[in-house]
Amino acid sequence: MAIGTHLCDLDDLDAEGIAAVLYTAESMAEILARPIPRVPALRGRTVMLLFYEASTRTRHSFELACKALGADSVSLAAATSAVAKGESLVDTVRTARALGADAVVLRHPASGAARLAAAQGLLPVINAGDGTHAHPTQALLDLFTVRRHRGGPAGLRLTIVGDILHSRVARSSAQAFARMGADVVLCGPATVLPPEAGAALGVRVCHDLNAALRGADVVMALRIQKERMDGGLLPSAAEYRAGWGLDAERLAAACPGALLLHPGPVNRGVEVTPDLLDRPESAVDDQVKAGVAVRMAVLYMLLEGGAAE
Amino acid sequence: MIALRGGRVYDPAQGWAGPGDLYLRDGRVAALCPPDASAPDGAWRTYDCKGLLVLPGPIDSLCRLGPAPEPWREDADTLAAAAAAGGYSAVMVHTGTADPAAIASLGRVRRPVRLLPVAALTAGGRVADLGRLAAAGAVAFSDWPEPIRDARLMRRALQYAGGLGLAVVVHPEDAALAGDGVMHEGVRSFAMGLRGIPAVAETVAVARDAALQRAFGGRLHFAALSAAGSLALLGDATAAVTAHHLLLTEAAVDGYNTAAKLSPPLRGEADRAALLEAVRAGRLTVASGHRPSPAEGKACEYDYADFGAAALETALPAALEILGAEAFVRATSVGPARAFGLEGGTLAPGAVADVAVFDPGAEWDVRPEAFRSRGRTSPLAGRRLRGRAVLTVVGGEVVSGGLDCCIKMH
Repeated sequence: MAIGTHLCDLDDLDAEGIAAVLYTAESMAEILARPIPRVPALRGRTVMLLFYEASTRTRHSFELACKALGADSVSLAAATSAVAKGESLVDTVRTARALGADAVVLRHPASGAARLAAAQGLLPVINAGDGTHAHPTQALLDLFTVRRHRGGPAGLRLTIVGDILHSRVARSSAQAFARMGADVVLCGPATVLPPEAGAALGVRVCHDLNAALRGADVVMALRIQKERMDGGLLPSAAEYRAGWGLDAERLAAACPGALLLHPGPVNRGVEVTPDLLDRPESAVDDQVKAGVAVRMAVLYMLLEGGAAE
Repeated sequence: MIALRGGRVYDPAQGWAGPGDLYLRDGRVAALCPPDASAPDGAWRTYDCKGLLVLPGPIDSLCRLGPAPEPWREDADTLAAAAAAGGYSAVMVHTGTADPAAIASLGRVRRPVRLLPVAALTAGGRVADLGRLAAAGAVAFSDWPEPIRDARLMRRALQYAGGLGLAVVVHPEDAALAGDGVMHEGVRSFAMGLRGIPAVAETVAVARDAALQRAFGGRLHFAALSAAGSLALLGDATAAVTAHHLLLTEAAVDGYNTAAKLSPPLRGEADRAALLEAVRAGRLTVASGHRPSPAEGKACEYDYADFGAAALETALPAALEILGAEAFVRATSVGPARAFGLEGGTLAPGAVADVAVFDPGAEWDVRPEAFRSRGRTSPLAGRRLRGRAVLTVVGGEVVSGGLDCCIKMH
């Protein structure tokens, strides 16, 4: 298996597949750096973007990826379409196929939604985030970003800090980095980092922030959602900032020059202090940039059935 | 006048476990004789039960019958047909209704199996009119699949129903701890990104209600257990487990399999093993937990799918396969009859002539699309089961079966 028919979660990608996507993404990044960042590789193909959940960067990133490859993208936003009239996901995927789509990019609030769409066997499905389950293209762009800055990721230590329980980014990135030989540590308050997280993802769990940051080459902060505080999982934003917020002093425990990642959008002053984002070690903007190249690679490989030459 | 001859009879109440010929007359057991004894006088319609098991009629203590008569929804007739095909002679149908007229009407129509109405325990946050419901024919009270959130209401209900001599059936689940969970909480739920229902959501509720029973009396039955930790907390209460929970674990949910979305949820292997051991020890009975849903209730995202599965046609074969005949009879017939004070549970002369004949060697594949129930989803779909009801006798009459393996001799 290099890359399968679908990209629903990390089960669809072994180490070889991840390497192939990253390799292809390098070519795509090279295309994006040209004065006219366009190639006709997927001309005549149509990609349906099904977004049942708000998203800016992921959706625009897929749209730009389609454009750069010459594919047409059609957006079906949940609020303005048949989706709002209660059409089931299965029926919507059928509709996408009937409209001539060659692939579906799906963002959905329910875990497993991408797998359900893929199980229809109608067309390739790319998961752009399903519930709290998986966000595989985010994991790939994180790998791409880290590789460009630090090499690896084999031998590097990645520490992910925040609400792990509700983070599809944490699940996919932890699995992807571990699969490529990185040492992954998860860190956060015990209510949102249950002990079974380690066994579930095959990585380490540490509830002591300082210990978790020690020796980290890459630190990823996760977005804290306000509803977690309403649900009683986190007492308050102030409490979170005091216990788990990243600032320069805390980050000093990590390796000198440790790379800072954040999947965005950032709550400045909650999970990270604003100054951290402006330091050269912050790769947050590079992550966004990498997203287009990586998604081009995934689209190309799923639709053309292989890595770029 | 039916004779079931040549089979192996299991009737723990009489200590009978071996060959025997069973004679049924006027809706009662006329005689149970050793195989070499001559038949009692009379013109018997004889069934050759060689190689088959002849057992006291199984009673299901947990089966849902919803209210609205939509075409896809199970009604009393399809439910009774499914129960008969599955080998049950009596089914306690949880109606969720607090209307005595609705309870009375369920018993009015003659159906292949006995439908024993279970009425709502509460209505509008109060104890329902349990006396009137009992007079209308309710055999127990229950809000299943809903839990009783309020401990004081639970206390009152136990006391009031206890005064009527009837059992309260509860779904032991602390609603706050269960939250909006959709599967067993653990490594798997974390990996799948699904909200978990922790095992303690059940054990906390079991502990609460067992303590209330200890303090205030009453007859308490837990509808269906899923967690090993509940077993030590039962006190004087009786409890059941579904056949699904004896056969399957949370692994059945893999791939976001909505057919395995059950309440209580399927849990780990240690839970399954402990529950099975408790059934073998006679501590738990086995119920179907039949709670059908329409196809579209399952052909969707796991989060949005209905809880429950069709179970009447698979529960007994599955239980027989895993338990063996002796433990099976205790868990599906003797146990429920005792727990709810129902007739049946034995084949002693004079007992009601409710009998199930099983072929313990018959292998068959579970195909939900062939169910008589309108519920067509099962976590056992595609699984090969060993053992099948070939003849169901209720009140001395054959209501299902008469297949090739059960040849009429005269």
